[in-house]
Amino acid sequence: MDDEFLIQQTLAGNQQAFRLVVLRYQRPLFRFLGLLGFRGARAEDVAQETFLRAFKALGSFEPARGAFSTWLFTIARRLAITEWQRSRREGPAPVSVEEAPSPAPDPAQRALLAERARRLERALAGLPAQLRSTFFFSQIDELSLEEVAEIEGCAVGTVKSRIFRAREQLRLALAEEDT
Amino acid sequence: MKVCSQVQERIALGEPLPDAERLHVSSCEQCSLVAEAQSQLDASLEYLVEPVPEGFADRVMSRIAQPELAHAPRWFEARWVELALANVALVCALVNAVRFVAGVLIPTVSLGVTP
Repeated sequence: MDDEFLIQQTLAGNQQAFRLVVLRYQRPLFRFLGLLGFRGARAEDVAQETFLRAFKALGSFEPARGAFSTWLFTIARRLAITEWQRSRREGPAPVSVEEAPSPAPDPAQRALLAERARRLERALAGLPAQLRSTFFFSQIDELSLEEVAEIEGCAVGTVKSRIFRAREQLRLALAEEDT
Repeated sequence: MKVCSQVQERIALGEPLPDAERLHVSSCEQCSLVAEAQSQLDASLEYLVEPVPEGFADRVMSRIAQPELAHAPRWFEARWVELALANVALVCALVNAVRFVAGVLIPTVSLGVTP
């Protein structure tokens, strides 16, 4: 079932169709929010609000103007920026890599990965805003480069160049800390 | 070397490498270092990814089921339709107000002129 069909069903009054939309996009959305530094309850708040806003505004979504994923992540981006600005006014959010899941079972490897993730968070925070934003969207498998370009309002070539520069800067930042 | 820059660009963009380029990476020290660094970067990024909390979709759906959101939005509830209707209503109100004021003032003026 494609997005357009699920949206038509939702608009026709079948709320369960929207549940399928939530299930389809919850993982990439949390991935995006996690990379932005949103954890636990904060991530859930922004994610819930994204889906609620999407549901309320579903009648105004025009498939001819772009993919549903582009539209949904544009809402998420706006909400995340607002939340980000609000939390910055109220003071920096605590670094919470410890709360993150641990993909490595070995404790030593887990500690190493956690340390690298902490350093990566610092390196990410040091990226220029445009590079950071484009890079985060590029990490969402559900978004093509064309869709990232649409969200970011730039050309595909610019997206590629930003991803390249962001990855190079992150790689160098991590390599510097290794030495 | 051209091949190296091509391969390293592809690695940095996170694109899958064709077989020939994968073969090149295994034999080129510079490219294999870049590939290793990028795969470490990807592994670290995975550590930052936030998992979906259990029951998330249920919580979203229960908020949607609340009375103020209970029905799915319909075409006439789109923002632009609401704005257009509001503008039409405003124009109607203005036209009626002008007609009312004109209706009150004009007979008064004409009464004043009549002896």
